[in-house]
Parts: sequence; C-alpha cells; structure tokens
Amino acid sequence: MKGKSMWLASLLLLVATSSFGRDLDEIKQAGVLRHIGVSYANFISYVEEERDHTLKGLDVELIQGFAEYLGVKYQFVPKQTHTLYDNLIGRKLRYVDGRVEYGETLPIEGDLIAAGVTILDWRKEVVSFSTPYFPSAVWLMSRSDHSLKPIKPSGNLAKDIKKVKSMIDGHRVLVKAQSCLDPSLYRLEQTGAELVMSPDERKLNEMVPAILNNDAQSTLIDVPDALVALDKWAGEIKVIGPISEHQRMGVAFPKESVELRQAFNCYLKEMRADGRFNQLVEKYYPTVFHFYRDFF
Amino acid sequence: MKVKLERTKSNVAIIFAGVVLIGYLIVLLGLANVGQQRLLSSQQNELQLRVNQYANHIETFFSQSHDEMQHLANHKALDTFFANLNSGMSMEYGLGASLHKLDKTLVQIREHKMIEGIAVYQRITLIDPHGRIISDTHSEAPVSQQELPLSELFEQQLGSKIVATEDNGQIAVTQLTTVYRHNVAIGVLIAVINPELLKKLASALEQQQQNSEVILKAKQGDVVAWNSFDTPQSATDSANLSVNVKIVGTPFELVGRFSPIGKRELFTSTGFVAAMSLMAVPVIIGFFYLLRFNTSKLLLETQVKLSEQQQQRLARSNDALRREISRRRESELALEYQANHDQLTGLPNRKYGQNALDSAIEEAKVDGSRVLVMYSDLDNFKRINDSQGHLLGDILLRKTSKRLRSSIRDCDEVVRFSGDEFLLICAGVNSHTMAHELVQRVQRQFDSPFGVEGNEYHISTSIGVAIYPEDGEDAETLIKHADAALYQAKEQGAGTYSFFDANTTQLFKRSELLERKLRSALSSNGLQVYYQPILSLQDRKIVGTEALVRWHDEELGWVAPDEFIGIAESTGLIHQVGQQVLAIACEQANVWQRYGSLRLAVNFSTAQFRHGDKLLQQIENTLAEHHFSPELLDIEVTESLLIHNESSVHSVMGNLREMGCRLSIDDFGTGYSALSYLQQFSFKKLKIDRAFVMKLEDNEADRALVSAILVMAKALDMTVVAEGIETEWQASFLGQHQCEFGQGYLFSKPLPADEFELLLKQQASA
Repeated sequence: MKGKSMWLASLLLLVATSSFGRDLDEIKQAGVLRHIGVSYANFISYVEEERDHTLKGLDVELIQGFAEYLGVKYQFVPKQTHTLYDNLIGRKLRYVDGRVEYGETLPIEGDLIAAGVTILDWRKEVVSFSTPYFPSAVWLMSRSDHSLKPIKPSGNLAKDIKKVKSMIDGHRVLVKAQSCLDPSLYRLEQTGAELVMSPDERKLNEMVPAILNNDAQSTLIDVPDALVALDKWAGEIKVIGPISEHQRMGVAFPKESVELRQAFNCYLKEMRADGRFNQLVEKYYPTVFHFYRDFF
Repeated sequence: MKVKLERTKSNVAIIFAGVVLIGYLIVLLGLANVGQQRLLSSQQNELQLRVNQYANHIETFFSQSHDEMQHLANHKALDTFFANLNSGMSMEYGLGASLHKLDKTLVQIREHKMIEGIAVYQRITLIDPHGRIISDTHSEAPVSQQELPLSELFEQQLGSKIVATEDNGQIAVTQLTTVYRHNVAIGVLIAVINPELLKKLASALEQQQQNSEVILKAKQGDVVAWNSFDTPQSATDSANLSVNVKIVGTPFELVGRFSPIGKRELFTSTGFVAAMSLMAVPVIIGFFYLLRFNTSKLLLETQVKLSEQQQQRLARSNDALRREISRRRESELALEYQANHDQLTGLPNRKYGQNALDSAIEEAKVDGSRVLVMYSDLDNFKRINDSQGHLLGDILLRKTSKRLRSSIRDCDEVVRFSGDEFLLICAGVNSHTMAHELVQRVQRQFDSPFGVEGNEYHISTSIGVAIYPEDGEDAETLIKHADAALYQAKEQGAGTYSFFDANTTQLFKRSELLERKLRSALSSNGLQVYYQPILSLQDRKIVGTEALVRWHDEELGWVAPDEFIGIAESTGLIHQVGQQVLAIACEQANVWQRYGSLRLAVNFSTAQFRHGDKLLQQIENTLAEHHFSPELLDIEVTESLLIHNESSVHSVMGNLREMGCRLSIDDFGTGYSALSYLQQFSFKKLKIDRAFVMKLEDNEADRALVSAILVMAKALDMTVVAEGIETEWQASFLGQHQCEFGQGYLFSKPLPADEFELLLKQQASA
C-alpha cells in the first residue's frame, strides 16, 4: 500500500512539473488560453491598482481575439522581462555570452508569450515563433542635451549603423541583457562604448526614464518603444540613428505546441485579410505605418 | 320750360358726378402713394436688418475659426514635432513619426470641422519661416504664397490675420495663424476657408422667388454669395435697394442688392387704378366712403402680413442662431476646461491657479480678509517615480490629488502647479491659529501610506506658506514667497511646513547661487580634497587618513562643507561630489602607499545610498580605475542611514563588505544609535564623535560614556577612532582606555595633499 502511494505521488509530481506546454486540444479542453506578458510600450499595459487592475494594448487585444477565435476564455499571466520564457517552457533560462543556459525546472504557467517579442536567433532555439506580425529595429536614443548628434541618413542602412557605432566610443550606453537590447547581439563591445547594464527588474519601457535620470547618456531602444517615448518625452530625448538591421516581432509558443501555433497563424492571416489587424495597429501605433509601410 | 329745367338739373348732376369722380381718383391715387412709401421704408429696414445679420454670422464664424486655429497652433502634435525637429532628428529615424501624427491632426481637423454639413476648411497647410511646407492636407497641389503677407506674421509678431487673395479669377479666403514656441514664430498655419460655407452664411434668408444679390466684396475681387436676378442688368438697376455692411476684422464688405417692392407685389399698378376708375362710375357716390374705408383696410392688412412674414423669417434664423451659439458655447466651455485643467489629475492647472489667487486677493481686498497660500511638494516622489516607473508615479499623483482635495474646504482651491508640486489657496483665513490648523490638516492626509499594486508607499509633503497681505500683495509675490518658505521647510526635513519670513528669501537666494556655483565647480573639477591624519594612539604613527571635501570659490571664498553638502544632497549633485572626492582620494592614497600601508576613510552621504546600485557600481569602477585595493578603503556612514532599515541599504552594505571594503560608523553617539545595527551591518570601525571627546576633561558623564563605548566596541571586535582630539590629556585618557586610533588638531588639522605628503615623508625618514 505504501509502495503504491509513493508511486502515485511521484506521478503527480511528474505531471505538476511537466516541462511540456499544452497544445491546441488540451487548451480547448481546459477552456482557457493563458497569455504570458509584461508591460511594454503599447503592446501591453498592465497595472495592478489595489484590488483592481487595468489591462490593455495591441497584444492583449490580439490574443483576446485569438481566445475568442478558439472559443475559450482568456487569461493574462503577468511576468517580469527577465523571466518571460521560464514559465512558458518550464525551465529557468538565461542568455549569457551568446548562448542559452538552462537552470532548474519550473511549472508551466502559460500557453504563449505575446509582449512585443523580437524574433532573435537564440530565442528561436528556445521557442517557436508565429508568422511575424510587427516590424522593429533597434535605435540609439539619448537625452536631447547630450553631445551626440543625430546622424544624417545616407540612404543605406548598413552605413548608417556603422556611422552610429563609430560615434559611441567612450560614451555611456544603457543596454539590457536577455532582451532585444542585449549588446552582444550587435557587437557593441567592439565599439569602445561604456556599456551600462540595466538591472533585471527594470522593465524595457523604463530605459528612457533611466537615461533621463542620468543612469547613462544614451540607451538602446526598439522602434515601437521609441515611437511611444518620442511622443511622451518630446524635446527631452532624441534618436541618434540605427544600431540594428530590420527586425520582426512574433508570438512565442513552446516548441511542442505545433497545432496551437498553426491555429494562431490562420487567425492572423484572417485578421490581416479582412483589415482588422491594420485597424488594431492603427489604434496603438498610428505612426508605425510611416516607417514600415511595406510590412503592413 | 319744365323740360329745360330738368335738363339743367341733369347737367348739374353730371358735372357734380364728374367732379366727385375726379376727386375720388385723386384721393385714391394719393392714398396708394402713401401706402407704397410706407412699404418701401419697411422693406429698406428689413433688408438692412437682414444684411446686418449675415455680417454678424460671418464675424462669429471667423472668430470661431480663429479660436480653432489658435488651438491647433498649440496642439500637442505640433509641440512634439517642433521639439523633435529642434533636437536634430532625421525623418528616417524618429522625426517621421512626429510628422505623420502632425499630418493626421491637420487632416482630421479639415475633415471633421463642419457647419450645417459643410466642411469649414478646404485646405490646411503648415509652413516654416523659410516658406517651406512642413505639413499639408493637399500635398499634391502647390500652395500659392506670393500674395500672403507671411513676412508680417513672422517678423511683426502678428498673431493671426484673415486675407483674401485672387487666384485664376477665384477669390480665396485664408485664415493665417502664427505658431510660436518660446515666443519665437516658427511656423504659420494657412487655413483656406471653404467659400461655400461663406456663401451659405451670407444668404441664409434669401429666397429664389425674390430678386436679390448678396456679394462679399474685397479689394482683390468679389465672392457672389447669392444672385436670383434674371439678368445681370436687372441686378445693377438703379431702382434696386442696396445695403452695405463692413465685416469687422476681415477684408470684406457685405453688399446686398434687392429689387424694390413696387416691382414685385405692389397693389397700386396701372391696371388696378383703371379698373377701379371704371368701376367707380356707377358707384361714385354710394361707395365713396366705403372705398375709402376699404383702401385703408387693405393697406393695413398688407402691412400686417408683411410684418408676420418678417417675424417668421426672423424667428427661424434666431432659432438657428441660438442652436449655433449654444453649440459653440459648449465647445468653448470644453476648450476652456482643457486650457485650465491638468489632464492627469483633473485639478486646475498653474494658469487657473494664478487667476484664482488673483480673484481671491481682489475679494480679500474688499472685505479685509486674509488669503492663505500653501506651496506643497511631495518629499520622496521623485525617487519613487524614477525607480518604480512613471505609470506608478501617475497613479500616486492622482491619489495625492484626491487626498489634497478632501483635506480642504469646498470654497478652497487645489491646483497642480507642476510635477509633484501643488498650490492650495484658502480664502477667509482670519488667524494664524486657523492657518496652522489648515496646513496641519493637509499634512495629516499623508499619515497613511498609498496602496498601489499591493505595495504601500509612504509619501510625505513639505509645505511652504505665505499669507496675503502680510507676505505679498499680488499673486506672483505670494507664490514666490510660499516657494521660498517651502525651501525653508525642506531644509528642516521631510514632512514639515514653514511660514514665510523675509530672511528665508535671502537664504533661498544664497542657496540658488550656491547650487549654480557648485555645478560649475563640479564641471571644472573645482572641488579640493584635504586629508586629516589618523594616528595610532600607542605609537603616534600615521596609519590612515580621512578624505574631506573642501570648496573655495573666487566670489564666495571658502564655503562651509555643511552648507554645500546640504545643497548637493537636496539637488542630487551629491552623487557627482561623492564620485569626484572618491576618485581624487583613491588616486592620491594609491601614490602614498610607497610610504607604507595607509588606510583611506571616505564619508558617504545617506543621499548617495538612495541609488545604491549606482553607488556600488561607482565605487567598484573608481577603485578599479585607480588600482586602489578595496581592503584599504573605509566607507564611513552616519547612523541616519540605518534609521529606515531599508533592504536596499542592507544589500549595498553587504556587497561593499564582500568587495573587501571596511564599514565604519561615523559620529557615533550623536544620532540614532541602535546597537543591533552595529552587528547586523558588520561594522568594523566606530568613530566617537568630537562632541564627547571635547568635554572629556570636564564632564564625568562623557568620560563614563566614552569608556562604555570603548568596552562595547572591544566586545564587538570593532576598532575605535576618537575624533576631535585637541589636548594631550584627551589623547592619553583615550589611549589608556584602549582606544586604538585618534585624529584631531593635536596631531594635525586637515591638510592639502602636498602638505600631508610631507608628514608621511617625515614619518618614513624618522
């Protein structure tokens, strides 16, 4: 009897700590789609206020629509930027020195991540991405009183990137590990810039307040966040120029959730075909069309 | 004879009848003429009224379009664009987004501004001072700028102007509005008014069945708003009635031409008179009085009918006007609300606050009462805002606004002045007791913490108070003095309040001057570091030095450290001061290691620990840069740092200890001495404050206290440094009681680096 109980307990433990994400059938059976995200630009704005909370943003509406499309309820699972992937794949992970390191096993708490996630090579090792749904790139932004001057575009992106990198030698640049603002992705170590690593707990949308607070003279920033910041802190900040080539954002799924990812791609295709997707983008990023007309 | 008599009677009757008939005709025609004159006069009045009304409509319209364009000139989209343009950004990288938003704003206004279903603007264009187009709702068509008086707007500070221009035979009406930033004209909005709307406004009461023409006349040409004459000749007939009205504030004159009433509906036509004359023959005498009566009645009925028609037309146009006025009033109220209120908190803004204070002062002048002005500033808001993000900061500001609002009387005002600064205006304050009560009531609102996202945030407010009329007789002075009093309150510590007194202003001015000079000293590395030796009390050898910052300014002379450190702490400059002092001292102490191992003690302010991670990084970088061993560095902090027992401080202190730095508690015994912290933070060194050492000889209690501190330090395995040793007696007492180290004027005052080095050299060669 004792032996049986032990066996049952071990099985339960195995189920509880299983490192396999749910696929479409299991989600439909459970009746709820769990969206992992973190407050970021106009993709997600999540604020807990005493007993209530507010949740809005492009990704929120996109995934709420997906849940409706699947006929299940929607649930938001708030996480921190540096732990975003851990509870999707069920493992603690860190991206250090150009490679992914896996840590202890963790419970799986969500079915997908949608939080303006840039598709990067190391992330593709860890998760599978949907069809890209939003364009991006990384720019260098500084306080407007800083001596760095915005570049004059040459018409050639590669040349512009080279120009910006050549200007930051000796300057303090705020970066963030494990995000699209990780300096190793753009070989910034070779530029001579003094790289100031942002603490883990700082959110991506706090990079601009950090340079306004003199933590560094400039920061890396991705385009969607830059568009929000230029509007919010007009006159206090300036874009110097590009640091990266064009990038794309996608919704991240566990590798094994193949059917769920396919269902999302179908849903996205329908949204794009009937114009609802562009309406959604227009609502949250009206100016993005100016830069990425071809993408939309 | 009888026949002759009858014929004579008959002739007389005929002659009589003829005379009566002639008389009748004369009377009839006379009456008709009088009626006609009265009708013509009535028509002239009606037409004058009508054209005046058109002119009023157009004036009101231009006034509204002027307001709309002013509002657009101050729109956030324009603000953002010009701010980003000024920072030198390119269209490809950043500026394009601001331009896109600006384009959309102009298009939205052009498409959505309608009056009675007619678009108000045909085109809106924004140009820069060089005449280059920044944004345009019709970018495909060129903008003709030659005839526009743009130089007047850019150079003569002319805010706005309505102009008429001629283009291919068409008259265009344009509203020009200058866009200012920081009182400099940086653009002009060119809004082309839809002529169809002007035509509609200038012909609202015209009807096709009446012959009339209404023209907007300008020097450059005419805009025909209405023309219902059959031929061009009939419009210019000299018999037509003509009314001219100047439209104030525009280059236009409104001209109305109307056919006279006689050609339209006059009842005394030739046919009518002939018929009446013929009919009169058989009824000459019998109907004479009846006809006369009838003529009068007809005249009267016609006048009444015309009057009714006029009244109905006026009532219709009045209704339309009333609706329009009410719509505009609502729009004006909404604009006024936006202009006077802060969007985040819903509180009145700075502009409104200053007006409200002006009004309160005016009322107080009349009834001889006092007005209390509180200038409130949240003490630790900036720190929370910077560390926790602006979203949380915004929530806290909204909650603060609610608490402030609930803390005052209904008749008082709370104004968001800027950032985390609020102005509270309380009228009818009759005594200082009442003033104190009001201020304390506001501060009590901050007793309980603010709960957000399950966390609690303790925020206090400092308040500066000024009272009308004692502290100033106008709003500007009162606000300035309340601000000065706030500064005074801040000096006393967080969560305090202070009433204005004239000395505060002096202090305030000095503080401002010191802050400015300190910034300049920091940028030119103008701070100096002095070194006071720390000696072993057993053999009187120098074992270490305490680095002390000194500042000499050409204008101010030597500035006391207490004074400028306080200012550096309140302005955030302390981080730079700390950085410079540490860098200079490490570099210097590294050189002095050649004379033997020398410890370096550096003071760190509590304020520096507010950004603990940054401080840690700073110390690490500086030590690495100057190759100074952390094991030789004593980090001296005061007891005030430990009061709040913050986890962030724990973490930084732990990291410093792990790096190898030694933690030292400075000025021990003067502040908040909880012995548990000495162990908790693993302090290795304790410095007895000079206040105890100075009185050792005379005060037995101090001798007992110092002995107790030394015993305790020994038990906790801490070394002790006594500060402020000035006499040999003090040095030997401390030495006998196992105090290892000392510093003070007995051994040496703080010295510049070269003089301190001489001491080291002497010691090395001895």
